[in-house]
Amino acid sequence: MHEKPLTLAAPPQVFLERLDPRIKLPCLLVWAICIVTVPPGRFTLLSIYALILLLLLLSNLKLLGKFARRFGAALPFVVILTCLLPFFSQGRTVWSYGPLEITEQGLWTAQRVATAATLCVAGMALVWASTSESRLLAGLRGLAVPATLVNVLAFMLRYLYVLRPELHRLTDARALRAIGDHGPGRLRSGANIVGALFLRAHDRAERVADAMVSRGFAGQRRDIYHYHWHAHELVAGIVFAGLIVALRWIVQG
Amino acid sequence: MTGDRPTPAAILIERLSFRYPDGVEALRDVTLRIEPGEKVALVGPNGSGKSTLLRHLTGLLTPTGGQVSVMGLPLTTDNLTKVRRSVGFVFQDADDQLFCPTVLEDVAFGPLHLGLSTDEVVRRVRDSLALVGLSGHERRVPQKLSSGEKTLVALATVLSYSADILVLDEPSASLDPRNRRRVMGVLARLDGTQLIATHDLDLAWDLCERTVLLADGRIIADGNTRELLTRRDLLETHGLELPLMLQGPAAEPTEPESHSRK
Repeated sequence: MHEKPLTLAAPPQVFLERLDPRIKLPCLLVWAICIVTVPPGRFTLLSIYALILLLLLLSNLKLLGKFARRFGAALPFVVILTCLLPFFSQGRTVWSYGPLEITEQGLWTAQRVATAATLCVAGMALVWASTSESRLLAGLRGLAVPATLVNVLAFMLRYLYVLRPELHRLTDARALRAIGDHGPGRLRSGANIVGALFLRAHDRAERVADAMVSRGFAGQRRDIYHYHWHAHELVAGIVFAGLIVALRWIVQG
Repeated sequence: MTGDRPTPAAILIERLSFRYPDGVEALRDVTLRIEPGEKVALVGPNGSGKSTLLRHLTGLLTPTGGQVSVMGLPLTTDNLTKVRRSVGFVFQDADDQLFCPTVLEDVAFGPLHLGLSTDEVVRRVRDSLALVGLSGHERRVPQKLSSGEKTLVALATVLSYSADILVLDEPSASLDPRNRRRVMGVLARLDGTQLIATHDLDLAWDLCERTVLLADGRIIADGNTRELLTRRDLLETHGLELPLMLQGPAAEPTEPESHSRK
């Protein structure tokens, strides 16, 4: 059994889940901007940001499992980026092996990028864990994000679940027919699987487009969700964003 | 002449031909008239042109020759929206039909795009899900539904905009007996015109008073289901078999096996 849903549209249980996505998403943007613009060497500030995130997570403890899975999924990209950076910066060489050189400047940049990227990814993972797909998409529409972009995201999310089992069926079929298949042969059949999956995704996209057109879609997608602003949610969003921005300018360490 | 205007056919297909860009001639000179309220089975072997014919009814394909009219409206670019309001098309693979994050949004998609109010849309979603026996499933995500539930939700997605004509492509494909029975039960309860493309001749026998046999892009036979589906020679000539219920408990294979296991 390979199928495992990434997100279930379960009723909201904790505050962060109930919070209007039109408030959460701008807060996430403020969070990311403040973190990536932190000047070098402000470890106190970054520690305070990390503490705020931890407090948010602890006050919405039910999200911990979901958060950990999403954070874990995104973390390898941060690690790869961090490992590559020391090799591609100018400055005093601290280690070299043939053409490979690690510079002091590169190590500092890597450390800065790793901290900022980890905090940004953690913030994103928290929003992702606390927002169902429907609410996320409706929130993006509510924030006037271009409809085409939202539609692309909606289809990508929906068809991950369809293409993933398809990928597993293809790899299972290969495993059953290619006992002892190693080395270049395996790479070749892997490439064939990617090609087959691409063609199937293309066919699927055409059939889905047909299904939409058959049901009256003419380019403009309409939404059944209508959000109402709640004062306490607005206040919570403004306080959070204000605190993040204020800390960015106040804390010098 | 009585002076009364004759009731237009629900579906009128006149000398329809279609050739795919790769040169395959999928439909040849097909003429078919289906009256309002009729339930018609479209049967035929794989590649006979059933799905291609159905896709012409909502303008997903443009004929190479001939004409299609739905509820008296010729299928032209100008009429496309009106025709699509009249025809509810249920695709063979429910995953093609269910593209929204929740059942609620999928069933609401059709009526929302008809421009109905949110209250009316929500009422229709509830009614449609009740009709297919899935009340209370609004919040569920389509990928977590069973195959039978997906087919029923796919049916609800077209019931929600009150289409005059239901067009179904293999509604019982890949369903277990219980879910097949559920889908058949829902279809039997629904009034209105139905055109069902299927290999499931037992389904055709139970649900449709009329059957059209399509083979190699042509209509080979068109008539009463009980008469047509008992013509063993006709069915076997075109790659079909008698409905299982007519084959008896120990049906012989229609062709002797050419290979035996050593």
